Amino acid sequence: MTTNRPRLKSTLPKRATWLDAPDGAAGDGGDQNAKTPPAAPAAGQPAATEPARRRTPSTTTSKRRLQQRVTPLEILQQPLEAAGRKVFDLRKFLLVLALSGLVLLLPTPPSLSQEGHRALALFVFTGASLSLQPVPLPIAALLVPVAQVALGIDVVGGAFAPFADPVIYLILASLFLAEALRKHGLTRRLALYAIVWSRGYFHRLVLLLIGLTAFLSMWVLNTATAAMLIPVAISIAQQIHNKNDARKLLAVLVLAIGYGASIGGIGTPMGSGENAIASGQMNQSFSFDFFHWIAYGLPMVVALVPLTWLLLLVAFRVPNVRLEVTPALRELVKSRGLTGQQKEIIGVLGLSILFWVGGSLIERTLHLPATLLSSAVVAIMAVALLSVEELIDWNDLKGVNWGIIFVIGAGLTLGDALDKSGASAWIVSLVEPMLSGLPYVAILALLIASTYILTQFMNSVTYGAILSPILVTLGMSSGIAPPRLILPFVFTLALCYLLPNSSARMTLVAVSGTVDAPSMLRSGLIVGIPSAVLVFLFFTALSLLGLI
Amino acid sequence: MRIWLIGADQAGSEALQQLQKNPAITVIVSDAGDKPKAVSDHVIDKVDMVEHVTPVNINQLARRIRPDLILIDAGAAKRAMGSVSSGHVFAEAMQSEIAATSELPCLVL
Repeated sequence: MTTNRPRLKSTLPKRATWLDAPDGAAGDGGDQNAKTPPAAPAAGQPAATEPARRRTPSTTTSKRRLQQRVTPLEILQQPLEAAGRKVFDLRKFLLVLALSGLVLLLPTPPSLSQEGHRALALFVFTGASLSLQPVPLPIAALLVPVAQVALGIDVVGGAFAPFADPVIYLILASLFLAEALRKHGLTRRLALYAIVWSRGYFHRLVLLLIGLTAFLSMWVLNTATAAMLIPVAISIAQQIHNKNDARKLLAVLVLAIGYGASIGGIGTPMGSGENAIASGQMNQSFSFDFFHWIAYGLPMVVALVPLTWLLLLVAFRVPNVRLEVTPALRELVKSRGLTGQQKEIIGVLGLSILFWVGGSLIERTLHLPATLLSSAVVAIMAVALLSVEELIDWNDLKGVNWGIIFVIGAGLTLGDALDKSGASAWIVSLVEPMLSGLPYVAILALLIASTYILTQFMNSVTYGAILSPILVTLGMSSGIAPPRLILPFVFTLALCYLLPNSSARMTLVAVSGTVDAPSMLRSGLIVGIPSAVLVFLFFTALSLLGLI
Repeated sequence: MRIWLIGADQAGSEALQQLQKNPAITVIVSDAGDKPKAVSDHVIDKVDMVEHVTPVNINQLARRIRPDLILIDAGAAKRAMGSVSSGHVFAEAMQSEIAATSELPCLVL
């Protein structure tokens, strides 16, 4: 078998030849080629049959020249390379082990059991491994129950049991729903509607995109929503003809999607990984269902969307240019309304939302078996229905973000270990005296301020996984209802806008190559700080009104 | 017939091997890197154009290359995005967007 075959491509006609002919040899021949492109040589055919362009030394020049001509936007070269990272980092892994070992070597505090001491080592192991990521995040998360078993805190069955928590299946189903939306082009279609409804006015389009992303992120995982919509934003930016504006406007569009996904994720337990962990932790101690969450989450989303829109426009000071809506309109007309499959997906999603919000009420009214209409069961039934309707199949589901499942499972495992071993209560006993006597508003301010700062530097899901169990125990032992601590904590976690590493959404924004680091930082501060203040005011108001 | 192959990873290499069977087909290969799988596997000597194709530049590039058909192999992009949460979804959405934006017939392999 031939192992070194000549290039398949033989020639491009002169008009498509982007290299200057070094010696003019390509001149006439090239023109002829332009009229009738010659056939490609068969494998193994001698190179003599190829014209002068075959001698071109490299493609570097062509790349530069093409970029100069093609578009008002500078094409983004680095994104895929930026995503690459080492699969295993031994030094980081040794650091994680050293930190955990150090905790084990410290003398056991008098009021803490041996098991609790080991759980503290697990706490440090989880925090260090999820933050430093010596291995990819999902693998690091899977090491948490392994470490739990290795430290003798639990046996394998108990350590892995939280990975079967209902909230895991809720998130899994939300990923499947996201895949159905993407596969059938529903997200793209909705984005096209947003363009048309905006009538091309850029400011209006940004608001619609934030709103659309937020709405979708409430029902499917926010990272998946951002992943589906950022490419659409890049397409929209093609309609911007002013070279000076194009880059800035594209950054605004992509950030609008990133922020919208973060905000929308606040709305429901399934919106983000940290919500799922917090919801799972609360449900282990007391009943806090989907409806309870959305009762606080939805008003917060509704308040944050316009604020974010205004602040984003302030941050970038972009002109209200008018985009061409004809291409979007033409595409919508060409596709002749929603397809039957898209309608079915909307129907299934609508029905699911109805059951997620009112499931417990319907259960009680119709005397259905308990938890039959719990959010995880409804989500799985929705996916099953989509599968029965052949809207998705197993092959479609292979590519979903399975990793998040393990991270959520690790968070729940850690919480379980801290709780069972008494380590959680011990940590709380250290913190509680500092907080005793402080009014709720002061605790809230401390909580939101510290969370806002730390979430910028630590992955929000990781941070949620580590602190949620502590906050639940703190709330229960200090007499503050846990949702009064957990919800502002989790809502603030979503406001991690400053750095790419703070959340998967912002990582996607960064790897899209459309927003440079200074812009992300500046915009993150301008949008994020007032948003955190709004979260504080929201919960202060709820507390004063006795609604939480 | 002129075919523009964007990405020469696993699926792209397989497509190239099949397209070699018909010498009348001209294939122009572009990739984000200069040594994709098809080059390292010696299916082709080198790529014709090192370019990161996005929805923004697909049509301008296509006007210069003038293919009859565009094929997209998203394998490398998916693998590169593998370490990012939802990176697969992002890569697939990007390829779909490129296909939707393209003014010429475009298939994602």
